[in-house]
Amino acid sequence: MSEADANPILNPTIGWVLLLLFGAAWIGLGIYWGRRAKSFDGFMLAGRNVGMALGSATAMATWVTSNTVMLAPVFALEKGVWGMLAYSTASFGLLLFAPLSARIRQLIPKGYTSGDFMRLRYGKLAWVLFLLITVVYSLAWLVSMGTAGGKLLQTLSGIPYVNGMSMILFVCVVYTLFGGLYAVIGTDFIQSIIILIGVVLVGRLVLLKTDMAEVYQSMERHQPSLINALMPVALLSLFNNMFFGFGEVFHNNVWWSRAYAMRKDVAPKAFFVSGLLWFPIPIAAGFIALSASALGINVIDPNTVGPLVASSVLGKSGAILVFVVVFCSLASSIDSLLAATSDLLVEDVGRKMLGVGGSEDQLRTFSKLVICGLGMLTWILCAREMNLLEILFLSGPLVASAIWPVLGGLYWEKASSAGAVLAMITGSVVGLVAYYKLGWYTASLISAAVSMVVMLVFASFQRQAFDWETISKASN
Amino acid sequence: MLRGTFLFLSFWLSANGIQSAAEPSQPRWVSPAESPFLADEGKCLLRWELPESENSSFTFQVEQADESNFSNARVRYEGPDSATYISGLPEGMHHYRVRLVSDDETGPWSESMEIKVEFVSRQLVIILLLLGSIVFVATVWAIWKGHCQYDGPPASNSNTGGRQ
Repeated sequence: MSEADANPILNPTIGWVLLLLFGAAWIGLGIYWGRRAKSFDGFMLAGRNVGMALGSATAMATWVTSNTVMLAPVFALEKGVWGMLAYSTASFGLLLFAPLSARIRQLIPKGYTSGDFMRLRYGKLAWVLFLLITVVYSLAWLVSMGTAGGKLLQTLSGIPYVNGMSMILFVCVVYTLFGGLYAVIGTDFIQSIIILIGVVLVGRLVLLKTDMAEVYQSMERHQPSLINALMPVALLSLFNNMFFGFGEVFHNNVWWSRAYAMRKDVAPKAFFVSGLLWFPIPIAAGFIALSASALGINVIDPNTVGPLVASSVLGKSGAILVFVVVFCSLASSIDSLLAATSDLLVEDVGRKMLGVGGSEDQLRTFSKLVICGLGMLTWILCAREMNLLEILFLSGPLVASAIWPVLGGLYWEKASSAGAVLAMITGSVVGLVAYYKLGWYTASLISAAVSMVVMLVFASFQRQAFDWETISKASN
Repeated sequence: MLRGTFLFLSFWLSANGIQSAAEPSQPRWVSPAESPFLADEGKCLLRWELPESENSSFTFQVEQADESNFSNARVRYEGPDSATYISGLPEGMHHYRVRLVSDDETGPWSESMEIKVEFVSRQLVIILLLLGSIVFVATVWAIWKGHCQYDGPPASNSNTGGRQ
């Protein structure tokens, strides 16, 4: 239990009012925007006509998760300045996905999911393996956000963990259910504006109320490694986090579905802009944790250090601001993940693997059932208060192993199915071994490296060139 | 007689781990579970507790020192919480102890808790940083090369190969 659990800064009534107010707003807006989702294509991919403003806002808001708001300060608290930068390298994933999104739209203009591409490019075995990786990762991400959200609401306002977590999931499931990707993207736009303003404002206010010279002196005295430019863990986490981010963005259907949903010429620009906008957010959210020691704030649970410092320095208004920012960042990511993962399960597992199908109405009903099921499963796992953050980091080597199979599949004629399968298996296994033997801060890096070598070796021995047209013909 | 009874009771209470209400008791470490504790990232959670019979309205003082005799000790935390999260420790052995303090008196120090910080080896760091740099450059290069090669007409024109 942290200090704040015992004495929450906000009254639970204020917490509930904020929760109900914003929950009702997201559900109302979701239903309003969702009226445009007349077809299955509209429900899944917002009519494939999303423009620049909405496109970059949805990508940015989706990538600002509760993990960003809560973990970036943890990185700063434990790894100092390098830690903040390490978290920011996750934005490189979005920047590099910009050219990939152009290629995706070029190869499979009528695609639905990232699984579609893996199936058509590499065949069934690679597809199944890829689905396994992405479902494990997506579930870990969803549950880590639900858990983090519940704990944060409890810390800030004293709302019991299960109640706060349930309310967040309920709101996100309801508006995703009614509005599909239209609702997700529409709410993401508003949420991204609130997140940007909120994070900058909190950072600025904390900066105004703290003496940086004092912060530096306190770190020099009590936490000297945080200002050590050669701190090994911090340096390694720089690359590890970067490759984790590459793996997350390159493989996950959250980003592929956005690439399909945006207008063809918009997608690369929108991903690039969202990456640029995202880069400073972990720094703004993270640096406040560095001042905890100088301000005499006793941190017990590092996972809540950011909100704890912000609300301790800024009082009730700061706590309200943090509450709103976190709720927005939670909603903007949970809805996206619910929508994209349900698309993947409906399209790849339901339609393609199990042969479930029929009319558009049947598919839409199936899709809604999957969203509800996913929400329920997330709730059950969240209610057990498992340490999903650790599981999320464990999924790092899994997703990092998919970087090169995705890259090779998109650009190389000689990328082979056997190479992709072995790259994902060896990358994941060696990465997981590194996780336990060397430390979490090496796992994604080593996984990406192994996967790269396997892909390159297999491509160099591959004689037959892949015919790109087989993908576009099959997807049409 | 009375004095003798008091001394006997004091001895008995002390021997059974029960101390009188007036005398602050000695906190004991709950976390880390063992001392010395190896912290390979320079961080750990220090948690302590009092015997169950004590009420919780105390102030604790935690000291940190580089020497085992606490000759260069400095206060790391002072307040009512029974835990504190330590991060940013440099390599080496760090010693901690905790006690109760109040306006009137101070309790005895707890046993010493040793935290040994040992980072991952320098050679491994250099190898992994080199590896990371190579994979990063290769990833960017592969995307850039692929983008330049295939930044062509859309698939609907049945030329998914672009400018090859």
